[in-house]
Amino acid sequence: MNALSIRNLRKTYNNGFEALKGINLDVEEGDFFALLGPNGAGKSTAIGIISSLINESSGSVSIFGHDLKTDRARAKSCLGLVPQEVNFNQFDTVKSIVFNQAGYYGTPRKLALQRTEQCLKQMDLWDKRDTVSRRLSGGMKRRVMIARAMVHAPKLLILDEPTAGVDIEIRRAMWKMMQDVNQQGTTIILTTHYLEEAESLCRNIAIIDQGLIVENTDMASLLARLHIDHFVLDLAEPIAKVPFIPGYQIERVADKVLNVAVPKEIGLNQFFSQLSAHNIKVISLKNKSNRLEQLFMDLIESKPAGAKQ
Amino acid sequence: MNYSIALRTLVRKEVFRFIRIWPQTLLPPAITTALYFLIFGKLIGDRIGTINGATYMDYIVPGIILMSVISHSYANVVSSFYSTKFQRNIEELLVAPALSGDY
Ligand SMILES: Nc1ncnc2c1ncn2[C@@H]1O[C@H](COP(=O)(O)OP(=O)(O)OP(=O)(O)O)[C@@H](O)[C@H]1O
Ligand SMILES: [Mg+2]
Repeated sequence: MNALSIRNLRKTYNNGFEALKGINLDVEEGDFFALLGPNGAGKSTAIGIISSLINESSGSVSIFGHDLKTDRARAKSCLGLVPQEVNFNQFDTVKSIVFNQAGYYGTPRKLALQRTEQCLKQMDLWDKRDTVSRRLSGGMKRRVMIARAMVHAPKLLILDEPTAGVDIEIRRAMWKMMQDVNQQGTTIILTTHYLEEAESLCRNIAIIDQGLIVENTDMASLLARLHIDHFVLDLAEPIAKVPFIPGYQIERVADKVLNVAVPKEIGLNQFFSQLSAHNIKVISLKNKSNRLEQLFMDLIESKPAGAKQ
Repeated sequence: MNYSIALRTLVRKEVFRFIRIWPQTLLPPAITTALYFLIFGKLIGDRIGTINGATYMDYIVPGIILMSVISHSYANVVSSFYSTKFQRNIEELLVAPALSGDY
């Protein structure tokens, strides 16, 4: 069964702006799904409709087979939402925010207390349980929202940029947490602007731009499409002139730094033997930009959007 | 889905909120009510005197208390909803299957 299935979803805001122009999307149960797109693409709008915060203009959404229009209560109880912006009461304590949310989902008091403790501990917030949420740091506020979204043990967890503004350590912890939650069987939909995050976590991916899905595939086959890798080389000694090596595009960035574009079918071996022949010593080598980033830019720039499928 | 739990949670939350911010919710009505008693009940009431054995104070006490209770119960709902919408935590309720429209 599909955890989420969206058909012909359109949204025109009151001011006449068409934020979603008919999107179709299926997310399988147990999937770790990335929903990517530039600012203003319509990601949050789509998520808002799925979580019944925004009314769609037309189209249908069903969550685990429960249609959002005809079977709303059951659809809602399958879903946990971590919104993009902080939306809890800043005057409530951390614990009461999470505990009350369990109550809104009809969780009995005893179980709700248990689940609250469990989620707060998982988010490393148990020490802060009696802190008024206004006094938390930005990263902690985000974690409160994740704990709140998980307190009723949803089958589908949607996270709208959960790692924005979160420090590296906590971000790693969040990745681990999301992977654990996913392994326990929860389907996860993640939006993020950190593409390496999507690359390392997600199995399937949809890219949305200007209200249209421009790409919907699995991560492996998307990355396989990249046939040029970019590398940055640090050299031992400054070079005056860029060496010419057929098949590779080499660019001098600084005295001791080179950029090189390597076609996948040729590989690196030949490149290094040629460099040795030129008597150039390489100290270290790193991937230039994230691989997905390049693809992403290609997809977004290849307008008109939606033309590419 | 157990709606009574959602309702109970909401009631408890609102009562706690009301009690927690008592300087805003309980103190002002107490002061205005006391002023009414002082001005109408005491100062004006003393001049009116007793009518059939009942003082003017006895006559206005229930009315003033009820007036205060009713008007502040409205005001409290309004301010609670306003802050809930303003801080957007009304979304906590909207995403949950806790509204009558979900039946
Ligand atoms: N309430 C609204 N009224 C009118 N237009 C809106 C409203 N909310 C969003 N929009 C517009 O809809 C478009 C999509 O917005 P949305 O929030 O879905 O983008 P997003 O993909 O989540 O972007 P980001 O990565 O910045 O979060 C934007 O152009 C935005 O200006
Ligand atoms: Mg957004």
